[in-house]
Amino acid sequence: MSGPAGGKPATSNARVVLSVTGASKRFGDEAAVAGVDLEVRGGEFFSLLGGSGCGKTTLLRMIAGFETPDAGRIVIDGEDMTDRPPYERPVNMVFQSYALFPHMSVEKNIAYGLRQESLGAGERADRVAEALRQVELTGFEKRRPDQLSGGQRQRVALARAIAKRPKILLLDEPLAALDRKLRERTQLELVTLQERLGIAFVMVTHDQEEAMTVSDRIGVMEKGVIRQTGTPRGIYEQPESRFVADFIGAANIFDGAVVARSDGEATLRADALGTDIRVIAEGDWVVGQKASVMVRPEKIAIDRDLPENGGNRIAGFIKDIGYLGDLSIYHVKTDAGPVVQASTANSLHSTEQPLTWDDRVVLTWPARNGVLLPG
Amino acid sequence: MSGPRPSPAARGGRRIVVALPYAWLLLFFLAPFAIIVAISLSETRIGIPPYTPILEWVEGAGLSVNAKLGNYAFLADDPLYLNALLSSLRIAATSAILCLLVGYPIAYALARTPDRWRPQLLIAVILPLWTSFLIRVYAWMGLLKTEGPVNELLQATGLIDQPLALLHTPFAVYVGIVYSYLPFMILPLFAALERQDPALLEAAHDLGARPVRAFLTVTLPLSLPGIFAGLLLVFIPAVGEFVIPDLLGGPETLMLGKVLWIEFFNNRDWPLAASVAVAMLVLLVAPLAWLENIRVKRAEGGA
Repeated sequence: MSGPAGGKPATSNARVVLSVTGASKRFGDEAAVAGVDLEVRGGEFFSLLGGSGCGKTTLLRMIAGFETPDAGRIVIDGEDMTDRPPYERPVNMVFQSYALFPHMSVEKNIAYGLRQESLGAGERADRVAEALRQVELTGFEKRRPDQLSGGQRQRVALARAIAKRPKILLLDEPLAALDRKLRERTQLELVTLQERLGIAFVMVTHDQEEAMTVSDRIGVMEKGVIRQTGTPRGIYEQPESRFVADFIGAANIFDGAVVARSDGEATLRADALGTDIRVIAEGDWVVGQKASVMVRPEKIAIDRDLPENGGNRIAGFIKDIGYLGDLSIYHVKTDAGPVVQASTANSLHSTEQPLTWDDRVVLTWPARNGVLLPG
Repeated sequence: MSGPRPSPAARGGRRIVVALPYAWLLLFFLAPFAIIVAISLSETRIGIPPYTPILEWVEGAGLSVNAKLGNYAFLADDPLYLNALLSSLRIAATSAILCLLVGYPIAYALARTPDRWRPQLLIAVILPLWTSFLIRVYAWMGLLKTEGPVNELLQATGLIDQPLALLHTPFAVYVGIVYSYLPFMILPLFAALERQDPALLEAAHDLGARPVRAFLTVTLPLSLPGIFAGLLLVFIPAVGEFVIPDLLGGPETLMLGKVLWIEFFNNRDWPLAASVAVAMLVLLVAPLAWLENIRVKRAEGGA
């Protein structure tokens, strides 16, 4: 994986700019957000990732001040903002619909927030010009929102928010309305902008690829709770629950119970496979405990025959092949019944498919490629 | 045009669809209006119809046109008509603005009402229109008369000692017009406000605007089309209003509708009544068409 997860300097020693403790919000009988704790540091790109209705947008709106939490505190830049209205908070938002003022030019849209501050006309104009430069829209000052493309509108929304120089920039699905190519380019531009501005970004998204591409850290939400917080790599490689393992990327999950425990390793009897799976394990796993093993498809080797290497080994035949160009995903029907996914990179230029439908194959993976999850 | 070329049959169908409203306007608006213009150019006489024919077939001389502008000259000469016009415009404009002041908060509240309550409240706004207009105005006569409930209430609360003369005053006319035309103000305002993306107001707050400022800079300007539509819907019929000034107004409320009635029914001067009607239409429509033209141009030309 490239991008910020790899090379970006750590922000762990930066100041905490956002601290949410025990935030809860109910709408009628439904708990939209149920006790969220969250800390975001200055200069960090944080994403709230989850499916629709998981509470991520409500949480973002509580940070912005559009929703008042039923319980919990929201502290922004060291100041308790829980009961402050949005117009007194040092945060700004990029709305999913962009919410550009249709009756104002690009320039006036960006200047709108600055007009609410006591700035001289000269400084205001400078800040507008600077914001436009940041999003590379110089020259579009006099256009009206309906004369802009979707991508340009998104940039104006971004410029309007950053012109206020917020402590935290909030982004509500900022790229959802863009087509795929433009979205991918804009993701990288967002990261560049965030690094240049050096302020914290908190973004809500349902798109895990997008969250992985742009974020320093991701909070995976489900049913109003953050299930796991971590770097993209951490969340992908070391999920802490079945939900996170399943939600992020593709995963083979084998349910069963721990039957043996040794130093740094455990053996799980997988109910559906009828075999034992060895997996690295740290912490207090005890024999007899219900658990699951998760293995990513790309971490499973597949071939007609593979040498015994002391790892896990399952035999079956190929039921289905998903050819994605860069990858091929094999759906292997194991002899015991369940289908296991394994993927290989198509790194050789070949017109010949080395493995094909109904081939008998062997799947192998070492113990360290699996993750043991609570059952 | 991006779509495929429509078939001749489809184009014919489209033509009919476009032509229908024009045919309607031609038949029920332009044709009667042409007749009124014609009558306004004739002279009054005792007989049936009570005006001289404008086109006459004269033996030997062919078709003779007897169009005379005398009625219009008379309108211009007698200050009664100008005063009635100015007074009508003033009353209609004041009523329209009063309707706006009363209607805007109502429309705003309606637009912010949760979806499940909104239909009931909208029906409550429209419901009065289901009763006869005349009966509603009569009801106001009962309410406003010297021994009516309004005076009784004011006396009971000790605000006044003697009953006020409310009926047959300009005040009563305003009450009647504002009450009767309020739905026509509320509905276009509601439509304009309801269409607004609530995120726009949130964006204004997010950018630091306090509620009043956010309203003045975002909600209000974006509801201007609704305000214009509402003002016109109240102003135009109010200028020619006859029933309300006749029943609720006093001798001092002079309105064009009443003048028209008097010319037509009391004096049986159809040509003069027709010229009053034509003059009113021209004086109203011409400036409004001009304003609308400016508005459209501005909307097309950008901010």
